[in-house]
Amino acid sequence: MAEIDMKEGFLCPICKIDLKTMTKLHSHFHEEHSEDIDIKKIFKGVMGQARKMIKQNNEGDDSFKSTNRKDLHNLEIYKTYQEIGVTRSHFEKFKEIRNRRLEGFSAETNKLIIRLDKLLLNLPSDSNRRKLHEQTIVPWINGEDVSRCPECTKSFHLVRWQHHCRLCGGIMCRDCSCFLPIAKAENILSHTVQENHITKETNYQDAFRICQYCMNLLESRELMKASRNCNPFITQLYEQLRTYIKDLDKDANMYQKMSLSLNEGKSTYNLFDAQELWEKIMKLSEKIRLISTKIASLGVNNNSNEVSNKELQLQRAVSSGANGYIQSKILSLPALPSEEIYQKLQENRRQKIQQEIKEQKSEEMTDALLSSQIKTEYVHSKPTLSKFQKNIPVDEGWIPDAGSCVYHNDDPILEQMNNIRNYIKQAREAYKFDEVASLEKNLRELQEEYYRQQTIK
Amino acid sequence: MSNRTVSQRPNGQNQGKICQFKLVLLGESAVGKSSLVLRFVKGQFHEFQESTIGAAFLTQTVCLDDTTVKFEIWDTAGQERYHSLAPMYYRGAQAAIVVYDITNQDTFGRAKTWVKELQRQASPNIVIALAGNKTDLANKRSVEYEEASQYAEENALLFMETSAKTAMNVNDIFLAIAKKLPKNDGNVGNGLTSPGSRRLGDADGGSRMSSGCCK
Ligand SMILES: Nc1nc2c(ncn2[C@@H]2O[C@H](COP(=O)(O)OP(=O)(O)O)[C@@H](O)[C@H]2O)c(=O)[nH]1
Ligand SMILES: [Mg+2]
Ligand SMILES: [Zn+2]
Ligand SMILES: [Zn+2]
Ligand SMILES: [Zn+2]
Repeated sequence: MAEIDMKEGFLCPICKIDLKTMTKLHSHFHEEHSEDIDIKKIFKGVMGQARKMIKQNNEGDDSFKSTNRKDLHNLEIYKTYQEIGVTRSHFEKFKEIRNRRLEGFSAETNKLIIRLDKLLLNLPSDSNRRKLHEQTIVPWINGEDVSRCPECTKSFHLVRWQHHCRLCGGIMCRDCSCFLPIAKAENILSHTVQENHITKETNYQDAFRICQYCMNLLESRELMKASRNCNPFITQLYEQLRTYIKDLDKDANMYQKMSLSLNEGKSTYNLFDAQELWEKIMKLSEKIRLISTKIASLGVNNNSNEVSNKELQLQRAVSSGANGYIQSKILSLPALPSEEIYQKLQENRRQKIQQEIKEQKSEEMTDALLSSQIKTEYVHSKPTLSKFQKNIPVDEGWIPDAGSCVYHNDDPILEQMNNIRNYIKQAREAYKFDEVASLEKNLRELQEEYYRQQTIK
Repeated sequence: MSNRTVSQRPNGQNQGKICQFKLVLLGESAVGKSSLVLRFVKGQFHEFQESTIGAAFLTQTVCLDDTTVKFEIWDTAGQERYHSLAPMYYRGAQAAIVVYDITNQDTFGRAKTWVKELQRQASPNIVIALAGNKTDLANKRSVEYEEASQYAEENALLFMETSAKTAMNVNDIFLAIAKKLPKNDGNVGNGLTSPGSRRLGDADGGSRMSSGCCK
């Protein structure tokens, strides 16, 4: 559409005149259009009601809702609204009031932004034409009756002139003027965030003179924008701290499992692995301790007074929380047996198992027994070997006959065993001890099978 | 009601009927009612749409097969303090679009209240459409499509998710409404049953018809 038929305001829905205020619209509608039978019926009650509402509205905003609710119930058309019983929550009302305020602020700020956009569009450089341009977009308040600056209440005279805010048209004195640089204005309109602040300098060649109130609105909008995008140092540290704590949790769980199993003399896990994991846990907790001290001392050492009390409180809480976490975590972890004790534990366990086996073999003393003995033997031979594991490459240390892997590599079982040893090595390097355990179990089974084949031959 | 009439298209091709309908937009403020209208009527979108004062009135014409449909659009202000004005605007309307913001659950609740109010107090034959606006902000969504669509189905509403920003489904929802409105001769031109919908005469040379027709 080339030319759009658009009107806005307190428009009469029938003659489309703008009545300027809600009250006038209501009474116009009532007086001019009440002959319209259809509508008269519907609005007869509403109009009277609306008048009352408006009166009450003028008396005080807060009484508005509650009083007219009561009256509305007398109205035919609102009767059906009574479905809700007695309720006590005032949250909705609170939200309503709060939303109205927020809405007011954001609408006001939006208005300023739109005006700023219009001001910047084709802004003349010639100062007289620029003034004209500014006034067509935001009409200036007539200053005749304004004898004092509304901000500082000093009276205007020959030396203290009236100035106008380019965004709201309001009046202020020179001292109460703020200046919004054009570059900054452009910045506000674009969606990027920038540091520079609205100045109070008196250089107004390339700036808009605005009042304190408009400046506050714009500045708080910029602050909101900035806070949405920034990632302060403390947040980065905190995120790092969280990942360390997550890692530590994972490792501590693993360690706990390993340690319990080892203390029972089981050979599912390897004592050296567990010791290494313990060292890793100690290193991690040291890192956490360092980072938490750093958080606690942020902004304290370089005595820049930019840290508020609340911030300090928060920092200290984060720090002591982290330290407390480490302490309770580390204390809760069971100690590992020494090598000697571990060997004894294993010995005890082996004897116990053999005892059980003896008890079982009352009837069948055949092949079944033999193979189970071989099995336990294999299970328990591992830890002794693993003692040397640090020096001996896994690939060799596990092969009964050194070099046999080269000669017998055509045997698929041996090849598979080699592969698995390789996997175990990789899993161990990645601290995946559960996988190590299950791979080792797999390897043992293969070894049993291989051994059986060899003895049959 | 005024007797404003609209001329036929200047380029005199075969016309069919011309219908005029009153459509009202309702919904919490800032859900994008004005933005939807602006997109539909002018094809524009403003990131910083000034909030509506009182109500805004616009018109737009669309062509449907052999029928020309002219919408008289009343875009209301959503703020609670203007609520007492709303009945003036939705009374006698043949269609209403109730808008909510998919990123704000409260506005969906408000939309339901509007639907209820319309069902009770607007013309019984009113065509109600529910629009879940701001779909471009999908990552902030808090009203699920299924929830709204099920609600719409239960209440026999037209339903679409729209974005005034990307223009998604904006023309579509107005067109869907136009399709659903009664246009047979029985309804058209019968000022008594539906006062806003009338067949428009050929007289009265005011050329208000748009070139935006059939775009
Ligand atoms: N991202 C996005 N913003 C929208 C959309 N529609 C409206 N807005 C914005 O939402 C705000 C309120 O829109 P407005 O049309 O004034 O809402 P009204 O109060 O319901 O008329 C404005 O800042 C619009 O730019 C949309 O589809 N997507
Ligand atoms: Mg609006
Ligand atoms: Zn009127
Ligand atoms: Zn002053
Ligand atoms: Zn100002």
